[in-house]
Amino acid sequence: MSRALEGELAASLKSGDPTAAYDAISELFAPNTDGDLLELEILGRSHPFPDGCYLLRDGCAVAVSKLGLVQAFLVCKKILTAHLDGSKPRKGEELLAATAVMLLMDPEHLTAANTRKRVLQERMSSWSSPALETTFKAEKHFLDNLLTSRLHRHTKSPTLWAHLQWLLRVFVSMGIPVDGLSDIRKVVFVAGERHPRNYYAWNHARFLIKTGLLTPSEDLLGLVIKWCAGHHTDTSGWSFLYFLLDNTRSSSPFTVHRTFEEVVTLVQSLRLTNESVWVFLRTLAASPFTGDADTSQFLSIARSFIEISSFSSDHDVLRSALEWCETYRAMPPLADAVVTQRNP
Amino acid sequence: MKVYYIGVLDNSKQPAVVLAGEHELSDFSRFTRNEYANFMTMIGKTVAERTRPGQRQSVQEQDYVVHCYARSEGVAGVIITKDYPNIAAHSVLSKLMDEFLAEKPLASIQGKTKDNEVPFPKLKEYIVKYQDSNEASSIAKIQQELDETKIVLHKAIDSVLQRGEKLDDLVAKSGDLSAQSKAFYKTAKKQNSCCVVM
Repeated sequence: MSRALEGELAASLKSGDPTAAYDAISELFAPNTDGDLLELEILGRSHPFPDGCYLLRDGCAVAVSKLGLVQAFLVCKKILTAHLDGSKPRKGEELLAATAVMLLMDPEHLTAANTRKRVLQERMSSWSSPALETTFKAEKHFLDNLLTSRLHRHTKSPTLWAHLQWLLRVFVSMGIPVDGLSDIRKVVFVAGERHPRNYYAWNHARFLIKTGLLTPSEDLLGLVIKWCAGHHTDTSGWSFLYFLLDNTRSSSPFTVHRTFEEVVTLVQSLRLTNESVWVFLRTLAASPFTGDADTSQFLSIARSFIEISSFSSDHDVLRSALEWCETYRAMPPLADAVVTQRNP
Repeated sequence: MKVYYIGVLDNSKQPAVVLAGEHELSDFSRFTRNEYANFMTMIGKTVAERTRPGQRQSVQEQDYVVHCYARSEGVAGVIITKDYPNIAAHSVLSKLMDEFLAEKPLASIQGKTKDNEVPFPKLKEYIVKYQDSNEASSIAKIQQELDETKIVLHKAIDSVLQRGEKLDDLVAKSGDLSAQSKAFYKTAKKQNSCCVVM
């Protein structure tokens, strides 16, 4: 849903009761640590709501009126501004309620996100451990709701994904367990599907691995290969698969070959010529941890596809992949090249 | 790879009649699913009506593709997909149409004038089974004789329409779409399309 305010909506802002809109919408985000994630969406003028109605619910599916949300946002902005300039300070609960609605309207509202961080940090100095664990898990639940809903801007919001990573660092510092595999399946995969080529979602996956919150494993690799096969035009998913192979190859030398075989089989049977999968294959074929036999097979398949394809756009993708692989396969690994330069 | 709709239509009539159809719209939000379902039925009919007997077409429209295989018997299979290779979509259609015509005598279907009057439970199995990339891969391998060059490709639905016809006009006139669906179509068109570098 676009942030833009259509003329009709802008004209309607002064009608109705903005405070009632705020009360109804903020109730959605009452602290919750378990239960199913909400499937949020925002509906505009194509789905008019009855007067005084700001939400539609069907189980976990919740539709929020765009008009109601904008009215609620204006109420929240006043609350936050008055708190920050000291004219009317608010308690933590009120700030969390207001900033939740602000982030639903505008996921890039950094002040709202940072206000939430400050509220949670203040609690760390005065709350007991069990209460702190509850409040931080509630924050995770809130973020997961926004990152996995059908909200086009939220699923790929750098502010929200950075906030999640900040939160997980806090989890680690407080000894609260993090289920990295669950984050991959229930948050990254879903956000990656809601918003294709989702750099921030897959960067979060890399964050989980680099921080040790998720251990690369055969099971994880299988899940990622399956996701990539089902989203074969998604270059971000393929990039993460390559990253994962790079992190698992030392513990399982046959993994690279098996993955290569699996992807090549898919490409051949479905005659895939999209750039995303071919960038993955050429990078893998050119990498030093791929065997010569697999690289030769890649080059052979690329050439045969060029011969049988009728489309010039496919030829461009395939030739580019072929040339890239031939160029970079022949080069020494980067570390060796640097050493050679220093010691000619 | 998603399959949103599979249907078998009588495209010897104008407008085409849906003999049997199934939607899989869990990708779409709860409160807009009906609008997408109606729109897909409408767009399936539009393409089927403009696919000649024996012809295969794949028509791109925004994020999805409408694939149609019209048999000489005056019956057409339609599948609406996202990120689904054409060869796999048409392989599914070949199998579907063979099964449908083997099971349903022409005399039993030619007189239908209202949508969804021919029970064909296998459609539900098809739409579930062929969501899986492995199943799509298997059927594409089996149907290797399918000549991809024979599939007529269109980059937009306007290119299958007659001169002067626009999709917006067809939507406005359509009896398959409610007023809400028509209003939703206008707003849904304006959604941002990003991250399409590759």
